[in-house]
Amino acid sequence: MSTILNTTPAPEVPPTGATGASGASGPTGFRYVLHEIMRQRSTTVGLVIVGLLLLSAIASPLISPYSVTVSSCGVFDPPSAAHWLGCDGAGLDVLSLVLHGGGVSMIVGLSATLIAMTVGASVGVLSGYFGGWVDVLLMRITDYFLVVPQIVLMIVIAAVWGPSLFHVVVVIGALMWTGTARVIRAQVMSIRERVYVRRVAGLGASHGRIIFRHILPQVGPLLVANAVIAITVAVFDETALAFLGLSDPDAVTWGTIMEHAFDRAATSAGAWWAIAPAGLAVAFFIVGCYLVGRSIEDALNPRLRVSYLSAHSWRLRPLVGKKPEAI
Amino acid sequence: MGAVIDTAGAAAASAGMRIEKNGVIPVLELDDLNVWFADRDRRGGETQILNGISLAIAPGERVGLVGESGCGKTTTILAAMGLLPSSASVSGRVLLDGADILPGGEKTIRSHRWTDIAMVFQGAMNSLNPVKTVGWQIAEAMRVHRVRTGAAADRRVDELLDMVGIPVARRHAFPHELSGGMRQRAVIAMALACDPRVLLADEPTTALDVIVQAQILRLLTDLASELHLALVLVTHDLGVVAETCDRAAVMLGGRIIEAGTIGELYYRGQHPYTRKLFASTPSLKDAKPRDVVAESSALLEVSDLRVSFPIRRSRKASSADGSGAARAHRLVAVDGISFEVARGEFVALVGQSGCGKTTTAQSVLGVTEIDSGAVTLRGETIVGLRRRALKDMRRRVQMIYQDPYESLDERFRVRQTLEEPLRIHGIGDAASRRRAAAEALERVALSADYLERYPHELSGGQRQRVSIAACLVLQPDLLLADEPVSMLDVTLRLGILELLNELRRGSSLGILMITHDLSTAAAYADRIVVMSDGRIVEAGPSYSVVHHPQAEYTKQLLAAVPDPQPADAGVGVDGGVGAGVGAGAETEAGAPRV
Repeated sequence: MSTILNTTPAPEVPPTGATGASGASGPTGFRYVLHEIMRQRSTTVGLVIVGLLLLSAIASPLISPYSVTVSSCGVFDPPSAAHWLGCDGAGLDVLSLVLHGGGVSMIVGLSATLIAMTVGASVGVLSGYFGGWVDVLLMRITDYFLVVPQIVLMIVIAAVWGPSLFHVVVVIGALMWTGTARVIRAQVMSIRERVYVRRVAGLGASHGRIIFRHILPQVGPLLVANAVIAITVAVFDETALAFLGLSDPDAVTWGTIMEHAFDRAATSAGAWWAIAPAGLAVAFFIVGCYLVGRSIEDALNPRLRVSYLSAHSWRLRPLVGKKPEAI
Repeated sequence: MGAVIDTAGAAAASAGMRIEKNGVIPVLELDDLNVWFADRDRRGGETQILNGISLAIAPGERVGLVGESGCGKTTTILAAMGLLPSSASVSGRVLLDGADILPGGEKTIRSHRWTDIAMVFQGAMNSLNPVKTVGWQIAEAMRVHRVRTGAAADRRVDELLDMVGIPVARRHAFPHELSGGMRQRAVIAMALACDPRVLLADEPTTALDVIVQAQILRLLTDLASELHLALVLVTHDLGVVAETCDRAAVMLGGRIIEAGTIGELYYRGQHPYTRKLFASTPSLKDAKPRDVVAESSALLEVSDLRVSFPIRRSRKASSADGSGAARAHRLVAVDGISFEVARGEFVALVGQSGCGKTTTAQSVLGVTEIDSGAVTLRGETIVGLRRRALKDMRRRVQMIYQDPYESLDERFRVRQTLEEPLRIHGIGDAASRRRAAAEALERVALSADYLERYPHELSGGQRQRVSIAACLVLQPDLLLADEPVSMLDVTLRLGILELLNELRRGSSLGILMITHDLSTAAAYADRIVVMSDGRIVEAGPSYSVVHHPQAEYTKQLLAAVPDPQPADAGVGVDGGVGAGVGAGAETEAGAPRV
């Protein structure tokens, strides 16, 4: 991970002088990375999945056929023309629930990710940039956070302060930053040793200037890739915590939809339609985010571009053209 | 120096040329070799990297492949080895003993790789497996190619080590226990393990010190004649080629633009690019006594500077010590050196890697703690400054870094890079900073068009000019240049050095250049300070240091510098390559004037 932003050009493109290099963007330039990201099919698939779920969540007040608070059909009614995904144990339309629940799940996931990224990036940058005792201290703290079991902590918090969405966000955010901190730290440690950073430091630039002008922009793409992957973890964690009843029981999220269905014995009633749609929605969202995150990472990782490690070999062409005399 | 190439090599060379002329089969022949690489965006486009390369090498012949970075010289030998990446497509013929080994692709080439054609990869000495002994790694080559195994392989390893000049007892050494020169010898032994007849060497001496370089080149020359080995030497250094090879091919933009004996190329180069290449390679003999342009007042004074670093004690050492003493050992990097740089003076600090020249530079920059001594700029001390004074001092001493590809922030436009030093020191407003940036750019001979460009749109030479401009905006008193041209192509070096030379004339700027390259130093510096093992062994005007060296070390250093002028190679050994080349040229061109 530490060499993700390494600018070593892959051997597949030998330097071709000024003409070859004067494209619209450099080998690690923003446009090049964007191009590499969009070139991959998984990006398109991921973006479509995430986009559809996001759209339906935003538009849920408009497109959901029934209310999510007033019952509109019988208990565990199977899917029908009126209720495409059937009804849950309280006589609520499952399709409406899933559409509504997506919004809350995503907001929780995004805010938890935001917290995790902010803390993780700060710890990573400070630790990697200053090194020494700052590094030792921060990494030791990171180690402690790494081993705190999430669900146990959540149970304790729910028991002490009561279950709420806010607590879920805080707990996920507070425990998820450790991975980001380590990745960013490793990257910053390598950027810090780059000649241009040493040159700017030699000019007398302040730490703040070096960090904000020269180091953060370099780790930015990595942070984005990390964040997109982190969203998947956050959304999954939210679902898991809600399913265990540690989230706000009144909020409609993908997790609570499943929790309620389980509580009302949907499994013994054979009402799979009360559980499966919410579960599938979570799965799709996670896969979508993961696909996008992976393609960003791939685009940033020069090692994946090394083609001589691939199974294919160079090709031979028929002899064409003129024949210059041998020397 | 003349001893580097012996008579046997020269004889083989002329023999090689005769063989080729008479139509007898050369051991390796590239015939109309073209290579295309698929474009990076994978839209199906492609770029032609090699364009009709034809080259023939006779057994025992040494041929140089010369050119600047990106000219396709490495691609040429990779194509001959069949080691191109999958994005490449190839046309042409690679004839080994007259048989084309290319048509079957990987399948037909593989059986010849290493057993017939072996290669010394660029930087291979730094890519040895750190957890295996060199003996094991040499034997591995034989195991992989099923040439020899067991006791036979062991015997062969001893033989090879002896051949490349590594004491046989060292076969159980790990790579980190060997010096750079020894590792390079081990890599050569590996290449020779399966008795190849062709050895392709890609920049085999680039990372080595000049004295070690001379030894390795000597080794390659000797091996070529002893083993009747055809040697292809890929390098950007004309001096290396002139010292080692019989013939050379000059490459530019994927084509061989000119080929011939070294003498022909040097004295009667037809292509303007060939002439430019030779003109850009300074020769030691070009150093002339020069007028003293420096003002007498001292700018930088270093007196009795001593710097040492703590060495982390290894467990072995401390247990052998027995005492468990708390005091760490210290490595003395700079051991009491004194020198000065006057205003408008260009001083070169020359020495091999590890001699303490970089530590000296860091002391002058004020970024290293020193043990004792004094470093003063215009009478004011540089060492031990507090924050504020240090920042002020940073403005007056500026450093040019070795690698222009690393020293600029890729995300900053040239204008931002040039304005940043002013911003850091809070000098001027937006308009005046912009003006200063444009002026600095003008001083390094770049037009204002470059202000809005990004580093990746610039060539290496232009990047180095931009980093020099970034030093100039603060109007420093002293410029420190750490190997300012060693990463640049030879034809660009001249421009950068001329620029530095111009800069110090116009103002009271002093320049301290740190370099391992004596010929560059001799051509541009007013004075040369030679360092070895943390001490100054010799200091004086460039002309007298080069032509009348006093210290034994300087003499060694001078003797090891490869010279592009081929006639010298023959001097000292009667009938050396000078005569050989002369004979070769005579048959070809009629009336030589070597």
